Amino acid sequence: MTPVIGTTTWSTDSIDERERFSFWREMVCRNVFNISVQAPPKRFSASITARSHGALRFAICESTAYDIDRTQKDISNESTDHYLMYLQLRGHTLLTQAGDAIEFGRNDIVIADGRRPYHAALFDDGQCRRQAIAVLPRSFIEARAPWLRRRPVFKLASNSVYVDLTRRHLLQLTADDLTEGELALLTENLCNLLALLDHADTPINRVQPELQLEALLDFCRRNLHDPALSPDFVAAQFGISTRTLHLRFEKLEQTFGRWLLDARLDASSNALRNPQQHACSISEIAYSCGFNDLSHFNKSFRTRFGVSPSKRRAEFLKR
Amino acid sequence: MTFWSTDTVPERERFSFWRETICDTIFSISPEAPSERFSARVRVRSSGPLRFAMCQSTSYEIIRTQRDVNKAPADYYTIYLQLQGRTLINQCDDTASLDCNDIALSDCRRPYSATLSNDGLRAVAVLPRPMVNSRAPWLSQRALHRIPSSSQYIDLARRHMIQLMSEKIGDGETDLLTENLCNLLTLASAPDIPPSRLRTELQTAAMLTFCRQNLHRPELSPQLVASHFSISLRTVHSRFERLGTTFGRWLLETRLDACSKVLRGQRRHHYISEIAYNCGFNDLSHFNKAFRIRFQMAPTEWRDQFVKKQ
Repeated sequence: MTPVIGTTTWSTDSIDERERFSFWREMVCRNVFNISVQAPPKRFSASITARSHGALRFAICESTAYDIDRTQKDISNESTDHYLMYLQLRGHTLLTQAGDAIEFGRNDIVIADGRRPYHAALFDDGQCRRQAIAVLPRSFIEARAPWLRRRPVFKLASNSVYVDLTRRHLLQLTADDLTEGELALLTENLCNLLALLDHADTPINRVQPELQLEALLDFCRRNLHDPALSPDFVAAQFGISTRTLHLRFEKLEQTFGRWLLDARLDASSNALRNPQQHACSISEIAYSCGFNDLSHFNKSFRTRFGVSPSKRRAEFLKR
Repeated sequence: MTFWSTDTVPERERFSFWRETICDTIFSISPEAPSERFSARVRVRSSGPLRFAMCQSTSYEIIRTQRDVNKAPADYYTIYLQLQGRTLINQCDDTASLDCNDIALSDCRRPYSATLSNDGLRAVAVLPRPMVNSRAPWLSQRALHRIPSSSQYIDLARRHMIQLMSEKIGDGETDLLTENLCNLLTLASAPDIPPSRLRTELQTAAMLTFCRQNLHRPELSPQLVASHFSISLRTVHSRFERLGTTFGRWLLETRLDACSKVLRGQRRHHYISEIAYNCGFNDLSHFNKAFRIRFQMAPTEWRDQFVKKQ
């Protein structure tokens, strides 16, 4: 009902082994990608699932090791002018362009200018290499991300929010059954993300933790009275490991224990000064703030405030 | 970036402080006094017409009455992302219950009420309604929409929302992320489209995106769009008519908006003529005139007002 932009798959699976490589060279490398390939020494198998719409092309490619060349001749044979984005999903690739060598592995993204020749060695590390590929017209990209003109090849390896979002968009764009609308909007987002990649970025492991820390502190404040409040208990509440919990507290430059003791002492000090709680004994207040050892409470109170709990209360009664 | 909190306010005054400072002045809503102890915190960031807030509070109720709406009419959509606790929103005849990770859109022109649970944490984005509506016109059918949690785009929308809450991002980044967010909300709310309109609506979304991507080409025309999508010229025009505009008007406005955004950035070294050409204008005097009509000032004045601000 909705116009779905389908995919086409080419695979060497159904092809006689001796003809596999030449099939691949003619059908895919020459016709689809305009690249030259060198025959691998060993057995060869490859498959690609691609989707095209207008000047846009997205594909998932899987193969054993081989070498690819995009020569000046390949480039001049081609009428379109585009950028290529590779997201490595499995295996390693070594890309050489104008004397620069870039190695990329799992989860790395490489953006290459289609107008420059390159050589790519796809390594065989015992498993198939797998890549998501996007071909985008130069005009789309350079209008939004002029910074890409600075170098012919960029590797985006950092684990930043924008690289992560780029990766997720590339995977969506190579997924099955996309409608025209989805393809258009997701491509626009991808180009926006390329523009964003030029900005100083937050490391991915920083955003969620900040939110989580706020939530952790809030939970602890509300459960101060519970003597069972411990790193294990809180971590279990949030479904995180105790190690992660301690990491979150590191941001406060404090340990969980230190923070909790201070929060409990502050709460007890406030209660001691509260006229409505004059009927409560000091030990009751200490217990209500989560202390279960009175002598420990007295000692830490004195260390923190320089006076004993009873003195603190008397100070306020006098006024 | 502004931060308000009841933490430093004496307990008895907390609620009235919150009511007057935050609810009345900033959000034009009337809160109802909670029965228990009250505490709340909010961090607000503004960027041009866009506003982003992180709200954390104990349980209370919010009402935006017809009077509030009249007092502060707002042609905005509010997008809620629940990060902790629960929010129950009632608007017109719809109710949405938001649990952790849920997203809802609400039309600010209509009264609503909301019940916020204890220890609630919400990320809120307030976006001009046309920004959302030009992409997802089907949302205007109802005031309140909850994005189905089964949508494959809700996770990306969530990640964009959270990034938009960051204190460190500038206006340019905010614009791009907001555009992405609107696109993702469009995709995520597509199940709301009546099946009979699905094809048309999604094709319109694709058409507008194609036009935005080819904005810089002076030859962008209804003919070009029609041939790209293999539809008739008549269909192109009727799609724009449904959005309450014409192809020419939409294109001019979108080009002017794009120019105004570039001018707002700090690229002082760019010539205004270059910016205009990059946005698809090929007649400078036409550009200057149209810009002045839209923004009531010359492009240079527009740029200088932001340069001074920085």
